Amino acid sequence: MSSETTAPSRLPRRVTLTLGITLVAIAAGGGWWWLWSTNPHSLIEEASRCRRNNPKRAVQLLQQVIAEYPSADLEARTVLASVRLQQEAWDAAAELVDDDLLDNAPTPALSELADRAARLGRNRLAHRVLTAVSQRPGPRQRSTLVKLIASGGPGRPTYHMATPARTLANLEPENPRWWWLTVDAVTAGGNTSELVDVLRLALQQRLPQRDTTELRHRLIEQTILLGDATAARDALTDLESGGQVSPARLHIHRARLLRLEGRPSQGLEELERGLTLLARVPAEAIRLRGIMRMDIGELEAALGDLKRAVRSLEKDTIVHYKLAECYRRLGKSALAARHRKRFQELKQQSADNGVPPEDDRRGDR
Amino acid sequence: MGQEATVVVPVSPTVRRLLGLLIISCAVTGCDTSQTNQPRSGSSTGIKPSKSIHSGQPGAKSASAATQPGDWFEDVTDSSGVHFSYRNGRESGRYHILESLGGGVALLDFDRDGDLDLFFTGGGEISSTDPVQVSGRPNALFRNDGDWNFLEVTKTAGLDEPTGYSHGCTAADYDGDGWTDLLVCCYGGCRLFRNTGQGTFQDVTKPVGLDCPGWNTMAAFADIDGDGWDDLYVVRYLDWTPEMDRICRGTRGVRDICSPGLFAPAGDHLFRNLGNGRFEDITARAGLRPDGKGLGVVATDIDGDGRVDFYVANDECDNHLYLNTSGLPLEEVGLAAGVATNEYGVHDGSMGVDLGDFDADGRPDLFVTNFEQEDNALYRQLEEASFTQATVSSGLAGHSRPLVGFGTACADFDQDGWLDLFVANGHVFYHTGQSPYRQPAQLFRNRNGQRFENNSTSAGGYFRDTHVGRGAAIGDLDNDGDLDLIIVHQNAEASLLRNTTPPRPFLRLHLAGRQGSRSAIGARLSIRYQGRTIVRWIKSGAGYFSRFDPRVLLPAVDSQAVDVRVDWPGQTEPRSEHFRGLLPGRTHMLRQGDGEARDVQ
Repeated sequence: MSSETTAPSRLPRRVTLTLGITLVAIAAGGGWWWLWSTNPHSLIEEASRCRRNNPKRAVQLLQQVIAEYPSADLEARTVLASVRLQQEAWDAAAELVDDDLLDNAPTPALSELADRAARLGRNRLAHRVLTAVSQRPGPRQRSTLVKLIASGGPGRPTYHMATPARTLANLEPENPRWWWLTVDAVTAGGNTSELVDVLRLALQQRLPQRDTTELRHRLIEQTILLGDATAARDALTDLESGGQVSPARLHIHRARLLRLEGRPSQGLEELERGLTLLARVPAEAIRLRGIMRMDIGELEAALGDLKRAVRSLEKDTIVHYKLAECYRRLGKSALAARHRKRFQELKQQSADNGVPPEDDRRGDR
Repeated sequence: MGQEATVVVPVSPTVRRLLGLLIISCAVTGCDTSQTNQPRSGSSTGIKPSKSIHSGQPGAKSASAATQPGDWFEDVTDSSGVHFSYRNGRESGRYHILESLGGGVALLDFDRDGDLDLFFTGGGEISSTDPVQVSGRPNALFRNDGDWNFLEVTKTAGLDEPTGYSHGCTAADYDGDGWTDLLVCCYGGCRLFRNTGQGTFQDVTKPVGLDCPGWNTMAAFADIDGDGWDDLYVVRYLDWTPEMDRICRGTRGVRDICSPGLFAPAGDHLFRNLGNGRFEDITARAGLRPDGKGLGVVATDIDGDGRVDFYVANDECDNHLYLNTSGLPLEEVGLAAGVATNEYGVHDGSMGVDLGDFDADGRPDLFVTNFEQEDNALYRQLEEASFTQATVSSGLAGHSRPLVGFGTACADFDQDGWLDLFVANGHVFYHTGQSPYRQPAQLFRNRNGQRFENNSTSAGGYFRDTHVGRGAAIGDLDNDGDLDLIIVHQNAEASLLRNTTPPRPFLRLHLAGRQGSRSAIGARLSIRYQGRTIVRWIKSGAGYFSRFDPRVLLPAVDSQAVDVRVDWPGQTEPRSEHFRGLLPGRTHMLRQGDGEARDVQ
């Protein structure tokens, strides 16, 4: 019997192996590409890389992420806002920045957005974003707070700086710089009660003696402004027992406090003691003495002080008003009218310059 | 109002492909869903849900409100039968500036039974739906049946119809029929109610030709031309409509009532009583300044020339002193007289005003309540219409700076012959003031005309609690010879405080003019007491949005008879008249020209 067998056709082993490896490689590559091309973070990275030379492509990629990957939407929108700023599409950039984004977008992306906005002069947007980032505890918080305060520009701090300054003061409670910044910013807000709270908080910290002393001076002034004679007296006692203090300033504090307490005669005596200790008496102190002399009806002496004060304070509304009042009470109506007119002119000028009357209201309290 | 919406997020095919992997991955590693984009809870404004405002029902009083030995006043509201709340429409959530002013109370003996009755303005409502509708709530009249029992008679008196969104009220016998009539100041008009003498009132606003559009806050009756008929000064606040209102926020971004500085002044009105049952608008001839944002007014003879003058407390602009020197126009001299501003020449946010001789020099001084961070101002009159700031020298500086002052009264509460001071406080800002919305009232005791002493903590339980005070009136509600207090609050019951100071001999005087004003507004009366002269004035419109007891209480010494000198207002000479031998403990009617008092006990 004869048997015929047909051998199976086989590829050479080598070929098979090569083919297999190739297929695996293709599959792996395809898988990698598939995974890469569907990874939103890679798309955002790609957009970030090409934003400088090809912003259109960057926008396209970011919009793709926003459309397809809700989980990466906030980061993509943040980067897109930055690209829009780069394109000077200000409104489009601003529209992307909403409360959700400010609260939840990744901090690095937001920081980059804030920096770009600041560089391009979009200060309002920069401030908004920095404010949001500055509220997040973490390694970037301090630098963000400093940037946020710096974004207010040079000059007197504004009330908007109060919150970041206070946060910095809480982060570094023994750094007097942040407490002073907080004090100045809250002062700009005009809320005396809040300022007194800040001063008291600052005085609870371990600050250099010089700062503590000055903060106590401020606390006395502000509690007098608040009309809280008891608190002012307590603060004065603390100051007196706290070390080296200018005796002249102490006398002036006591004078103001006595005036608040309805004892202007004694207040005047204290003020006189203080002024004799000064080598050069400032015009404001002379004005205060004139006002206190008016309180007790020493009109001629008050007039002398006010006339002396007005030489240095010609544009001061208070001194002109008090001069008008003093002349009126002395029966010199023409001179009273002259100073009343000047007072009204200055008041009008202040109003024209946008100075709120509240700035003058406190006067010499 | 925004509505919550469900957002459906489109899911791409890639995402669907990955979802399977994600589910497996989550099963292995666990998933933190807190990172998903859920809307944040809480309000974006940061405002906590507000506590419900007072319903107007009697509320539980705090422990500090209990009466203690030595208190000057006892709160008798609960047992009095007077349960009434002024409502400002806060529920609408619109934060209209209209809500900030509050209401008042007028003391008048409408049925002439010898007891002072109480008339309260009701305020109003503001719709929360657009377009904004501002409407009035009914006012209320309580009849005094004696012994601190009051009965509401609003409906039977014909006063139950709302008058419009109301604020201040005053009373006078405008038609000279012997019965006291009522005037209510409202946003959008004023309403005059004639007392028929039959226990009812009749709305005569239109028939008498009283047309006062705009935002009327308070009024004062006084005879400016000496014709014997009381004319009418109407104080107005802002040129404001709900459509003009804005959204205002405090420094921290929290929404609140706007400042009056954002709106133009309305300017006041003056009406002449023609004596024939009609009024004529003489605002233009009177020379009233257009730049007043008026809230308080007091009318009497301020400069001692026999003619009635007006002092108007304006919010966030200079206060005005109108001198009636030789008829119309009136002469506004506030700045020159030293009563327009604070001691540094800056206007205050002035609300209430009263007048009296604090230092016993025979001249009327002025006291004005102001906004927070400002001193309530005491202007002492040195000579005719020339004042000096006495806030500091009298010891009043500082006490009011943390508070917002409204109702006030200069009154001798302890009957020692020296005028004390009452101030009702309460903020206008719900959330954003430097001080809280609810604030304590204050009482300052006059120490021998030299200085004031803050007596608030021992003035009574009411003073140890906090309130949102607005209008307030003084009067001897129980006719026992001392002055009691009624205080109106925002969205909470008014309080009746019985004066519990030790009884002292007194003299009660009721003046009636004949040649000039029948109400004798502008009359100056004086007596000798313990070696000094005590002077009082018949005035109109004093305080805040309220009307005081028109009778005058004076101290006396045991049973010693008292001589009274009256300087009547008007140009007719002689103006001075002496009434001799008046016995203490009684009410005396002093009628001009009679020369003899009539005992009306």
